[in-house]
Amino acid sequence: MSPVNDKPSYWRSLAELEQDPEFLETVEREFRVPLDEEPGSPARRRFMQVMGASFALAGLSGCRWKEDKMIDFAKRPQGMVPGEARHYATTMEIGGLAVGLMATSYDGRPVKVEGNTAHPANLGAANAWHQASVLELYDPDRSQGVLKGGQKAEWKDFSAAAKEQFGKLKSAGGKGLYVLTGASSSPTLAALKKETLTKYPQAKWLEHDAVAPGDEERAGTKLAFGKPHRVHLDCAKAAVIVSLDADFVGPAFPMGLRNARAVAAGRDPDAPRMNRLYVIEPAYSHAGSIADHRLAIRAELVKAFAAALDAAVSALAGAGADLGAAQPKPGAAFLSDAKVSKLLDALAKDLAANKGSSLVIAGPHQPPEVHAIAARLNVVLGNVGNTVSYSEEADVPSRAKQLESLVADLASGQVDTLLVLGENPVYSAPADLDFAGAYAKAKTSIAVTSYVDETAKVSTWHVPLAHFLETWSDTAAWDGTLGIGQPLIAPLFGGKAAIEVVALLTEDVAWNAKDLVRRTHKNAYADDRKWNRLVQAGVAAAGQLEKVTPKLQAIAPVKLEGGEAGGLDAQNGQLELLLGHCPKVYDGRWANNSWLQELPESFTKLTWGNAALIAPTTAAALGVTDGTMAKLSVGGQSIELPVMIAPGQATGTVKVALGYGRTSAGIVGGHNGDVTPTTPVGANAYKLRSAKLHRFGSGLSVQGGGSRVHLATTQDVHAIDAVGRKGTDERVPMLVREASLAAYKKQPDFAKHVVHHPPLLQLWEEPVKYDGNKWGMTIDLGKCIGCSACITACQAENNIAVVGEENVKRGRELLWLRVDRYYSGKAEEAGVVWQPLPCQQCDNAPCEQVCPVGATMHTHEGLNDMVYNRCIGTRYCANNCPYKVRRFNYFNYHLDKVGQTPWHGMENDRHRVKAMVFNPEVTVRARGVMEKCTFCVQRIQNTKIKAKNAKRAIRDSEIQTACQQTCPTGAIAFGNLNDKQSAVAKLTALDRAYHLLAELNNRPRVSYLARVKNPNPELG
Amino acid sequence: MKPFTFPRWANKTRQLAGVVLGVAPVYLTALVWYGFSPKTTDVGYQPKQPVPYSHALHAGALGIDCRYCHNTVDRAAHAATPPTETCMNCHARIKAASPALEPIRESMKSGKPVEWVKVHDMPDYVYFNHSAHVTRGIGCVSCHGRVDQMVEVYQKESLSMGWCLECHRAPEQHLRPPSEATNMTWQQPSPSFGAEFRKANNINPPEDCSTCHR
Repeated sequence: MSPVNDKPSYWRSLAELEQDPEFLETVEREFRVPLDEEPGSPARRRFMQVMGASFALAGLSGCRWKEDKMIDFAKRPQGMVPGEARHYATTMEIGGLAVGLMATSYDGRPVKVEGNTAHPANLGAANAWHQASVLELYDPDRSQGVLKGGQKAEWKDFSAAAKEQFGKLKSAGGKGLYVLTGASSSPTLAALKKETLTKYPQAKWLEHDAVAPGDEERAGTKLAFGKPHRVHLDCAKAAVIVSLDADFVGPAFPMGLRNARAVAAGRDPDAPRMNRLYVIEPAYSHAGSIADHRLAIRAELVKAFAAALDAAVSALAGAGADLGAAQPKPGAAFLSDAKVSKLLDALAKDLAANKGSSLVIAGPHQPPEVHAIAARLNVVLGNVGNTVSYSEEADVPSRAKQLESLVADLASGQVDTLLVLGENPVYSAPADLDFAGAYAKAKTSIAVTSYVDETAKVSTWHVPLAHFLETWSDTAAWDGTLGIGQPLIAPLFGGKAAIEVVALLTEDVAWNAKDLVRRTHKNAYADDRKWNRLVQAGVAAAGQLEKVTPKLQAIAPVKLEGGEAGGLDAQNGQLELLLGHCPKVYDGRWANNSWLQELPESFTKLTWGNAALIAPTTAAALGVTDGTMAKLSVGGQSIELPVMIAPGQATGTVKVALGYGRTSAGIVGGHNGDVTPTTPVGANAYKLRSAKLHRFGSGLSVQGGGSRVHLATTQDVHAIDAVGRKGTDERVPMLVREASLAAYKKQPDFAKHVVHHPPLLQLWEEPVKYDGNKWGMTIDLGKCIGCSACITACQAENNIAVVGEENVKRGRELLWLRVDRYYSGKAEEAGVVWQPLPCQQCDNAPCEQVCPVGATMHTHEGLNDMVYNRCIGTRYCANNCPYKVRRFNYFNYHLDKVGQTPWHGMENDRHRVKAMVFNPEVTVRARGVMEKCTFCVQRIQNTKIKAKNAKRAIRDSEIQTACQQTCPTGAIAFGNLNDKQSAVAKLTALDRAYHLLAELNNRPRVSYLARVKNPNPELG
Repeated sequence: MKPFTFPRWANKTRQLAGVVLGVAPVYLTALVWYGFSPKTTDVGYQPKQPVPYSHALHAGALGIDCRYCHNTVDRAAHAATPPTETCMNCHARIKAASPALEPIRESMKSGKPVEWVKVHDMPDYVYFNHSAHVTRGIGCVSCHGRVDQMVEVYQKESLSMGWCLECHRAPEQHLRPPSEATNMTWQQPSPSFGAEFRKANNINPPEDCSTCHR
């Protein structure tokens, strides 16, 4: 028998699918690079110097470690217990989308955020951006103070100068005053805006956010209803959901976390009704990854698809004449493709059969016509009031238009004072606007930003912006729910809230954020007790937007231009470029956040940078492959990026994430400052952006260069290699098990029959009885959307170090939890299965059996304890772990530089600030020790102690692991398997539960629930 | 010139070397075993405190309960050093002008806390929880010794892992009703008390690594 089988049906990368020799070599090796190949390691002499210093230190301090001090308060605040965690409700918004958070603070030091279970937008979940926000708080690269023309100044200098300047402007009726804010939902900022425009009637208040949703939706609903509306989804009630290029469960979608929870809850195969999900999109999104049917077409074709869907559905559903004529079936070439037309027919029938419980969602960056058609379809299908509802919106121009008008006014010299709040338009404005050139023409520019970024650098004044955990704030969720944020720590670097700066415009004396927020809500919360209760909860029970039932107007037949009516393929030079927010650094604002930079992107598993994602067939036609440097040109602009082939992406498309190539982000993201300049991470895709090509557009040409680069991906690094390459084809379906709903109904325990093995016996009597708690976890593969919030939550909870790009390339990343992504089927139409993989906490653990020093031990509750202070770094355990979940500290990654010792590295201000983010409940690991997932043992122990102190049993789900707590879809359950009434025990007992690699007799404690899909029987 | 010859006694060096080589490993082992043991290095550690606070006077002669100052001991991991305010509750009136109390008054005035030196200093990878012990029925005296007789507090026990495990394996002789936790002189009423108390209160000290290390 040949050692290599045919092409696998599941695969992790194209290299694996193609059986690339490089990939095969990777699998052969346990650790990717032999130790002696470490370049840049401290030379021996340097090593001796470093060690010499630490020997000397050891000599000085004698036999005892450093004298420790106990420093309590002079006056301890009432109710304060030193060293104990306290939780405070707060709120955070990203691109105007607000969620409620619960921040954990130790001795006045916030170290972790979780979702606020009472907030409707996230229901206790949080995404990777929220989780990583604490790292930004302690980023020593954040702006350290007010700057005037780049020189150090004081807040009082600024406020005095501002007062004089604003006074002059006020007497001129506000002429020449421009305020540019980010997308914001803050009622206080809105109130200040109103007041500013009253006091400065000729002033202009504009909004900029490079990627936030809302503009096309307002324009589209205006087409459909005559007035702009906001769309509110209720995915829980939907049986059939159609996404027209909308990642409605993704982090950047309004109420994305709530939608994810609702959709996942509706995908229980044991429930009477399981929802069905159709996703039409150009490139993989989280919604696409869990879709029952997915069609990958270029983004510009979605409009024609929507029109054709309207034609088909209106005919089937018998849309009344009062709703206006349906779209005529467009004559787009791709619609005659057999695959497309078959899907279209089946989809129309499915929708018509589910009137009132279907849902059509338009993508935030799709043109207004698509939003209008989606609105029409929802009306025709009787979904309004059921799965979708509307509230009225103000009729304001799109943010892109607002920025254009600002640039025009800047160019014509009308701008006297420009106040920029929290945004970085010099970096994030489309290239064709030449914002930087125009910005220089403002007489006075004031940038209120977290970092001395590209905009702050060229501004007259810079004021540091306070982090949301440092100040008071208020937000309104997408549905209008009021959220209140309170400071957990005084501004570390003297930052000011945006509202405090704006208040200089409207007030005679300086106001602080607390009073400003309180003033906004003084009517509804006049009573102090009522106000305090609101602050404590962080979210108001009321405040929701009023829902309206808009009347549908006749929508004109959509016009299809150029490629919009074309075929499925596109030639080089006419390729479609997709520009989207980065799932890690958003619009570039988190470029200096190393947790996010090192987070493997869900689909590509790429860290530290962006790439040109190209569909497999297109890449083949262009002659480029993974790592090929390519020149992307469109509209006279070009950038260079490495290529990554993206299975499942529409033919003829190239996707590039915005937010990279920062030149003034900080030491992590890249900056060209005087002190330790660093090269930018990734390439700046805003250079390709223009008014015409805002989110996507055709006309791109790709020129593959000769050179290839090594991408920092985590993709194949921890490939599970059950018994070498032989049998991977048989084995991957054993790792991720899935079936259709029909097959599941026929054989509910199909997952248990994927692998057959002889009875697994124990060689010796069970050493541990597990008669107390028996911790176990279940992970529902049917619910996971691959968002990777769990990874960052784990990193924040467990003090996991960032290793940097070079070390990721060597396979040394330390993330305890990974989310394996398997593609299935053909490369062009690849399906995706997610598999989060923490330590499986085996009862019969292979790692424990090979440790020569007893550094990994079994507990009486079934955990595989990792004892750092015993570990001598043989790495035998990692070698013997079949799941590849153990991680090794090759260096003291928490320190700034290789070669620093913990004793010296901690003794500088940068490190002191950085070290504040550490969770005091978890040991910070040093060089030379192994580490791995502990099931958040610190949470287990603390809850056990608390429960026993109170002489009560631990309640079910009282202990939540960090990954479980943040999971938007509730895919992870954790608890005591011995308690048969616990959620985790019930899930483990399900028919579709299975253990990973059970045939190895490891007896893992993590059960996976096989994924069940609900395909339309008509589509087979 | 007469060639150099070793004196006669030099013949004995061989025997002597044999003795030294034989004894040296034993001596070195013993030296490391006892010399580096926490019993030698840590027991008796008595750093100088910023204020010559006498536990013998306050806890002993005056009989102030431990929890008057260490008030989080039964509900938190840390026993908490008292804030300056606690000292001033009495010393605003008693010995209000004592020069020894100057750092306390200074702290109260400036709001800057007093920097006490930690006596019982566990390594950073040890997560000890006071409340878990005090509420189960382990008295202060078991680990801290007769603090009520210490003018300046010193470390009584080794606080080594072996010492912790001794009690975790057989806690009986250290158990007492939690109400007597701070009583320095309490004695078990009968030899069987420990075993009975342990059974009645379901006290099972874990010996798993992650109990203390995480």
